[in-house]
Amino acid sequence: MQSVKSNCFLALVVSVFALASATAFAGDMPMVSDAWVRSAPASTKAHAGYLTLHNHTGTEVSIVGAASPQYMQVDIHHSRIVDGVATMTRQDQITLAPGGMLKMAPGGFHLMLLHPTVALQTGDAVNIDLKMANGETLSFTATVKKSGGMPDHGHSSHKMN
Amino acid sequence: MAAARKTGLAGVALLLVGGIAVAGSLALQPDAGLPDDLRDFALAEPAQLQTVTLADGKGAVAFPGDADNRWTLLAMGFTHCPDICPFMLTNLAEVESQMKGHLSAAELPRFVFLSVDPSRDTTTYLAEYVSHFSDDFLGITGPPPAIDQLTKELGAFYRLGPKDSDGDYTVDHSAEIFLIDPKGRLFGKFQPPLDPQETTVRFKNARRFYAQSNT
Repeated sequence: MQSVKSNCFLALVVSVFALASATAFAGDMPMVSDAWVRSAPASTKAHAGYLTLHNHTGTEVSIVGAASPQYMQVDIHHSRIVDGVATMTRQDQITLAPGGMLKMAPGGFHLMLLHPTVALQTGDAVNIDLKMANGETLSFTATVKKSGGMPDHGHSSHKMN
Repeated sequence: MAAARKTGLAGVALLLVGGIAVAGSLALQPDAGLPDDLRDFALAEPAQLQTVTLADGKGAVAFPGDADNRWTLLAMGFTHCPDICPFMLTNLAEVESQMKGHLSAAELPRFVFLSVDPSRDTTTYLAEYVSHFSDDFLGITGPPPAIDQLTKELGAFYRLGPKDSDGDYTVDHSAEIFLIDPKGRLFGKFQPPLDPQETTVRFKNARRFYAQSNT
């Protein structure tokens, strides 16, 4: 099993599905949708945040960091299960190509929300800032909610790889 | 002529299909003792696990130990795991819920979460953590030698990562769900995510096979 060292600088170029219809209203900031935080036992020190990022802009966008007033630290992580072993590696940067989309979902990319400073309950809003490489900040709120173990209702075709 | 050629081709096709069928049945020979409905997840031979002393929120637990004639479904991980562990435990709670509709209380397996990170996961905290997913889940951990012994015999893997400047670290760990029979033997492994209905059927098949082979 090969594990990627967390300190190595990984530039992940995510050039996935071009959103042809969405390019019509290109702004300078990517858009966030479906942002949520998985509800967790009260004393848990690490939570996961999920969201979908759409880069409607005409230029490449890099996310180089994250923060939240409700957590001491926020990292960008990537989980994988390879040969039956779960690994989680910190990503120093996530890059979206123009028109690109990244879905951060259970079993893959997520925001690692560490050391909550307040008790969060289902339905609460978490304020999150994503820091972009160009110095700008993308702010949004994510709702705390419970999630099923099989969001895709997936059978063998939806392995969490 | 054309008809004869067609018949000839059909004959060749039949021979080919027959040949594939024979080759297929030969390929399955090594597991001949295992019924078809167990092949996807069961070991050819169950592997006895040595009982080790771990602990839950109430005290010492001999594991697998005397399980009161119950089966066990075991997941391993750590509570600082925000993504895959909650995903697996939520998935297991769905399996438990499905099984409760199809099995009696005595037939239900124990659902166990083994933390391989005892320095951060106290047993009290672990009990609170697993209860978030189901009232009946058991959270166990213990001294690293006992964890190492058990994970080795399960054919499982874990590795604590290096600490960052804040002392945080991540843990690589097996993400399979281990099925242990009432004799404390590793019976099989399930790959997540588990389909609750399919897993319930597979578990009932495992119980039936076990009852037939241990009478």
